[in-house]
Parts: sequence; C-alpha cells; structure tokens
Amino acid sequence: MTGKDLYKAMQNVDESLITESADIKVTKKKVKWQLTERQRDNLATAAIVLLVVGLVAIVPVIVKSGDLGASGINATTSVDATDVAVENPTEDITKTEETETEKVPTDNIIDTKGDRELLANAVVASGSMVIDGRLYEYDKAKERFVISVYKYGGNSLTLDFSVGGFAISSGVKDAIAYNAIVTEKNADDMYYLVEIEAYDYNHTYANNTQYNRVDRLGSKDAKDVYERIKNSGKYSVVWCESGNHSYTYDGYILNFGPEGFMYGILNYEQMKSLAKDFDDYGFAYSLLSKTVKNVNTNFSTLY
Amino acid sequence: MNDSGIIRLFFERDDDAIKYTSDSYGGKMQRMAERMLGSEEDAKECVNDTLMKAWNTIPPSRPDNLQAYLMTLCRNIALNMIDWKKAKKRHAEVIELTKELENCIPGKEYSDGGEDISELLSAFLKGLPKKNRMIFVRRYWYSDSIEDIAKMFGCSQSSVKVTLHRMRKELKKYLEQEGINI
Repeated sequence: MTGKDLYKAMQNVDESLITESADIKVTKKKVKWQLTERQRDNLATAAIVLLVVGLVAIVPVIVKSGDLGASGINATTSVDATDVAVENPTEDITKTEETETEKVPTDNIIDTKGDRELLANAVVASGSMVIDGRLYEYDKAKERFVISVYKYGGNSLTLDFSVGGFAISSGVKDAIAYNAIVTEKNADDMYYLVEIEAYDYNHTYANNTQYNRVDRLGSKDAKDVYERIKNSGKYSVVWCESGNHSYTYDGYILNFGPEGFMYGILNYEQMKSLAKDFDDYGFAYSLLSKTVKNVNTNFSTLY
Repeated sequence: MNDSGIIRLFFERDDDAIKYTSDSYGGKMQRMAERMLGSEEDAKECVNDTLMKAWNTIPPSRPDNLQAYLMTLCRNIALNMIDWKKAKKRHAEVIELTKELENCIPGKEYSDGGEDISELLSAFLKGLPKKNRMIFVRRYWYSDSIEDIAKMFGCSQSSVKVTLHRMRKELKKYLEQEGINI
C-alpha cells in the first residue's frame, strides 16, 4: 500500500465526514495591534524632532514678545533658544520612553544563574514557548516541549514562526536564526535554550533507495558531531542524552543509530553560527525557550 | 439561489440548474480539481464532467448536502483523471498529499488482506476531536492547502502542520492496532 492508495481510500470515507467539513466559514483572527520596540523608538525620535523644531521656531518669538522678560529674563539678553528647546523636552520624552519600555512584559526573562534544574523548571514554568501567540505543550514524559524545526536531508518540515515581520519558511538555517519574538534590535541581548538532535542515520526512502548521510558527510556517528560542537568552543552545552530508535517521517524511514539530544544556551550569533556550521548534518533543532536571559553560559558539559 | 432551489431545478430538468450550480460551487470544485490535477485545463474538464454527472444523477438522487455531493463527484472524477507522472511534473498538490499520507502506513509493504481501509479511516476520523477531524478531511479529502486551512480555522500554518503531523502519527498507530501488518 502507498500513500496514493490511502489518498484514494479517503474517497470512500463516511459521507457525514465530508458534509461536516463541506462549508467552513473563514475565521478571521483578531490581531491586537501593538507597536514593536523599533516602532516605539522611531515614534519617540520623531516626537523629539518635532518638539525641537517646534520650540526652535516658537521660543525666539516668545523671547521677542517679552514674555520671558516678565519672568526675569531680559528680552535683550542673548538666549540660546536651541538649548532651552532641546534640554528639558528631551528629558521629558526620554522619561516617557523609559516608562513605556518598562511596560514590556518581562515574565519570560529568566535568570537561571547557570543552574540546570532551575533552568529546566523555569523554562517549563514560564510558559516561554509562546510562539505565534500560542503556548506549545510541554511533554512531561519526554521532559521537553513538543515543537521542533526539522530538516531531514532535502525533505524539511518547517514550522512557520511569524512575528514582527519575520516569516520562517525555508528551513533550519533560517529558522535557527530567529525566534518568534526576536527582532534584529534585541536579538543580541537574548539567549536561547536550544535543543540539538544529532544522529548517524541511514535513510531508507519510500522507494527503498538507501542513502547514507553519515558517510557522505564523513561523520562517524552522533557522538562525533557532539564532539565537533563541543570542541568548537563556540557553544555552551548544557546536557546530553542518547538512545537509539527508528522513525518514520514524511515518507522517509529513518533508522537512527546512536542518537542524542543536546541542550545548549546560545545567543543569537551562536545560533546563526550553529546553523551555518552544522546545517549539513541533518540536525533537528528545537527552540525550547525564547528568552532565557542573563544565564551563566559556563555550563559544565554533562555529556 | 439556495441548494434546495437548485435541486428543485435539477428535478424539473431545468438547464438553469447547471448554471446556478456552477455559480455556487464551480469555483470550489475548480480549485480542488486543480490542486489534484495540477492543470487548469484538466480541472475545467473535471468540473464540466462533474456538472454533467450531477445532471445525470439528480434525480433520482436528492443530496442532503449539495456541496458535499458535488465535491464527492468532482474528487472521484479527478482521481480517475490523475496521471500520476504528469501530476508529479506539474507539482500538483496531490503528490505532496500522498507523500504525507505515506507516514500513516504501518510498514514498507502493506498486506492488502481485503480490509476496508475507508471504513477504518472513517472510524478513526470519528474518534478525533471535531476540529482536528475537519482539518484532516479538508487536507486529505478536499486537498486544501495548509495556508487555506489555516485561514479557515483562524490559526497559523504551523499549528495546522503540527496538528496534521500528530494525526498522521495517530492514524498509523490506529492502523497498526487494527491489524494492518507489514
């Protein structure tokens, strides 16, 4: 039997199922409009410029009209209108901007101080897997979030995280570089708890074509990949675990040999670097957390 | 014109039945057929055949749900028209759909021992939550794109992909439990 047969078999499913799904009205999602940080910055800057320009134009008129003379400043005194205009209003605007920044939710910012258990608990407790407005479930049995960005050979499944203008749709390389809430502006300040899966596997395609990726890449096994990552000195590996299993995925039957998961705390640049350096390995990366911040990245390697 | 009015025209053998059917459901049938066949022209032919088939079968049939009835006819005709090699070249959506469904097959080889897969599929689908069931049917019966399904259900494309992925895994497990062996 093939997928084709199954697709054809769908033709004869119970008619009530077809009827039930026949006429679905398009649901329009309510989107709460909110300024991004960058937009807020731009708006604040624009406001400052307008205020400065306005005051520069107005203050000399006021001075000439003698209003300031009444408050003790002689109208003929040389008043630097620009100073007057710039200093005070700028302070006010800056204060306003800081207040707005403070309002940005920081619930998901976790200071784990390098404690693995605390980190794991904090990630779970924080609900920090809110991606695309939804909280992804935490699989207690597997002790990890059920969300992944996979890329197996040429066949990829990419979950579309689409926030703030970034749409991830072209595979791990891009997906690893952006997290849902990250903008270019704040990316450097953030760290990510990332799961990296590596395996030495032999593909058996649906048509029984054998494809040994490990041989092609000259990598002996998953452990070798770990070592490469670990020894690169670029990444802080948190912990690893390993096992064996087989898996069928999107028409591929993947027979994994030694397989393992590796968890790392990476910043934005490291994530991009990881994607660049190891993209060919058929990894699966999972972004476990979006804002693990201020972590001590000097984790001891547990592998 | 509403469905009962259209059906009445069919029963009265009024040619306008075809016109109103085409106006109401021609677009939907065209889109589904095009996704399956990967060709606008073939899809048009498929829709025309569907309208003809409807004309020939109503009466005596009196569909409870005209849209579902027409789409069933259309899908059936499209299935018979599919040239799988051409579909592959044309990057028809149906190729992607069949690849996805490969996941649900318990093993490399399937011993077709006469089990009625359609019945098993129906039973499986009826056991799913309604929303999930509808997503599955829209994808693998109506051959809708992920994007369209996401719009229908007001969720993200990633959510639809994840839901479908899980259901395929569940279906595979279900088929195994039902004794579909390698």
